[in-house]
Amino acid sequence: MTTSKSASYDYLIKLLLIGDSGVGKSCLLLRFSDDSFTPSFITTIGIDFKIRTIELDGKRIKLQIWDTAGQERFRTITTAYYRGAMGILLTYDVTDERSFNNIRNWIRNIEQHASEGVNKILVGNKCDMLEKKVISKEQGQALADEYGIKFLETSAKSNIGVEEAFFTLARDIKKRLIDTPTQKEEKQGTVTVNPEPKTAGGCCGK
Amino acid sequence: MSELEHTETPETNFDVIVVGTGLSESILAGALTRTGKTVLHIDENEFYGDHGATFDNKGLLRFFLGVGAEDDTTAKAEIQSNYHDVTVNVYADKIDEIVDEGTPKVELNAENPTASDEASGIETEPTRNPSEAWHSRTLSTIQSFLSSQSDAHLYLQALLSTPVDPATLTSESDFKTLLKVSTACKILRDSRKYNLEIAPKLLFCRGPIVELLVSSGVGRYLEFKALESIYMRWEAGFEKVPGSKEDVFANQTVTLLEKRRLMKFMNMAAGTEEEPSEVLKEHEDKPFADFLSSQNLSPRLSAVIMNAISFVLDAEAAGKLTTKEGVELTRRHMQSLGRWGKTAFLVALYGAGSELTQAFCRLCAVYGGVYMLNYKLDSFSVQERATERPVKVKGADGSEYSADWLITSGTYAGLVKKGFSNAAFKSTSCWRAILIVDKSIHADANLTLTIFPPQSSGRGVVVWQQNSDTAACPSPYYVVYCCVQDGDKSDLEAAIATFAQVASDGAKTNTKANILLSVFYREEVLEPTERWVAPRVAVCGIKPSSLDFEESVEVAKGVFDKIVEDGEFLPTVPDPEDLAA
Repeated sequence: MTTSKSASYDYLIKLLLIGDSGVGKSCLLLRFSDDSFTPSFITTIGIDFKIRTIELDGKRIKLQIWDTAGQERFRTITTAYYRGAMGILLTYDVTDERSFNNIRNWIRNIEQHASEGVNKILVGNKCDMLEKKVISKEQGQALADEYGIKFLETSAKSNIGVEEAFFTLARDIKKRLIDTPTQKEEKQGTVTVNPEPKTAGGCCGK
Repeated sequence: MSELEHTETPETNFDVIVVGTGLSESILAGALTRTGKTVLHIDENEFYGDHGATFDNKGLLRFFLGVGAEDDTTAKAEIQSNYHDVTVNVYADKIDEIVDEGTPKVELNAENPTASDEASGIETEPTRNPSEAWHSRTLSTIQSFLSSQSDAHLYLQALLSTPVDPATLTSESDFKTLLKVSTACKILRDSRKYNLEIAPKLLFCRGPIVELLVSSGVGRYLEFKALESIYMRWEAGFEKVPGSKEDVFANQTVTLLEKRRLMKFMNMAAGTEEEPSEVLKEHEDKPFADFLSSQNLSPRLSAVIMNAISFVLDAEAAGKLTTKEGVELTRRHMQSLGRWGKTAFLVALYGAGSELTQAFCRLCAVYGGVYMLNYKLDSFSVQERATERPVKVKGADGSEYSADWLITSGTYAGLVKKGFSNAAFKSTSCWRAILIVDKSIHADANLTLTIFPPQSSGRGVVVWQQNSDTAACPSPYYVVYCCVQDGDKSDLEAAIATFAQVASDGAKTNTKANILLSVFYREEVLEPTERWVAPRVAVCGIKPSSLDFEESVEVAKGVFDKIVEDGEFLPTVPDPEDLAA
């Protein structure tokens, strides 16, 4: 499961959560990172990103997963949010048609700001709410097929599909960046301005 | 983004409403939510950064020329009234290559290598005949670009100073026209690979903003590169400005005697404030310029210290500068040496103003701040008698938001004056240029600062260079930013002529960089004469041409202290890595 930051890892992968307000992005994040769930609707305060280190094919992969900090509400996500992201969980709420229709807009946003070739997965959250469900699994799959990305239904509340969603995305990224290393645009000599300089274990693709 | 309607925000009551996402306002917004205040942060623009924004090529054209604006009936954002006399020009790239390929060669005319804003004499040049293969290759590249993007025509027309209808381009077209159109297409096609700052800044390695980034933890959102070299224009060349004792000794153009004198001065300036040397004490209130000459420093070294170490670039201000002030400015520079890289400065990747702003806004949002961009405003007011939330901000959509405090950037001076009759502003302006060039303006470095000491106009010019190292543009190009405070466009043109030229003017030399794109504009910044225009309303504003952001921190801190008594200003945020159990 999760590990302390002192534990070593082989690769660092940066993931983003994207989607409308209230679709359960933070809940998915908390379920995956802390295995916890808060039912009441709270706009996320104080969560910048969460860490969980997983193991894939014998490699320790540290996932750094960023939440939108509520900046998706009025479409004010900073362009800086997308920098360096290797994978994106595009999330909608299966009980909210609007959030599903907005996925196209979010994809347009990603195309505009994220790096080319970033891995994506479409996630239909709240699949436990059967009686309120308005977007069928087939609709979700059809949209995912249209963009050539993978699709999963999840429930952060009932802990359905959450692990699978993050692991699937991580595996695709590992395949793209780690298993088939190409010429990586490495920024030489970048200065980071931190309270205490830390020595990172390693970085994706290096 | 814009295709989505604003959803109604349920909350209309906040402790503080911040208007404008310039750096001071963004630092404040972050600092306020850190203390638990509720903050609504609004910008009329669809982008972060206010006067410090960063754009890709298309974004720049949209901002300056309104190209591709979805609906020109929408109210213009206040900020757009702060930019004047914008000229955009594209020039043909790779002319040498084409001329080499084609036949027959003609003699090239090396006159007028400046970046003038006239159509660059295309029609008057003698006709040359590049190969047919080149012709058809170029034509098909242009046509395929035009068919790839629906808005390509709009942007292309905006880039070409003389209207060219690409549909009419044929194999018979003048090759220079073709070349120019193809350069424009290339600039647009790679638009996303550019991050152009409308007001570039550097960060002193030990300046207040860097210290704040370190102490607050906000620095972890950002990436920097060390500035590689500083140059000063002197006589017909560029002098590398020594940044350290090692540099002074390594410098081959300074005589041994001068080296000793410069070292003596640098040691004196580096000395602690508490115990200034006798000589300094004696000169304290006397002009710095006189002090420098009393130290037997040559005019060249005096100029280096005044212009390229103290960064006093206004001849009049330089004359008034006291020795005490001059030494303080020298010390500011010297204290920032040796922390990262070979100079006193850091360059932010992707554009300083925009990235720093977004980092502080992210912090604000993480702590609950609500963001509304692209939100046009109608009015500001204070209801004197109201006991709760007396400050009102009304949106153009009729919504009203209430707060205890209102902070705005100087960009919203129009609304501030309308709402608060005693508010007064003074205007400062500077001329700026953004150039895309085909190679570095200095042979030995990519990230550079070049200082042009004041000439006849009395105003010095600052020139920054960046490239793909800071994601300013794709390789192999370079972005060159130029700025002159209170000066004229001609000051910029004179400086530019020393290091760059327009290839399509026919000048074929390998020494200067060729300009592909030039954008000239005059930026006006409004600063309030009094920070607090009403008891609960403050206006932030900083001088447009300062090299660093240090003023922003000071302004933010000052306003913060008034709103939050005894609150800690941006304490270190817990690192999520530490929280990972």
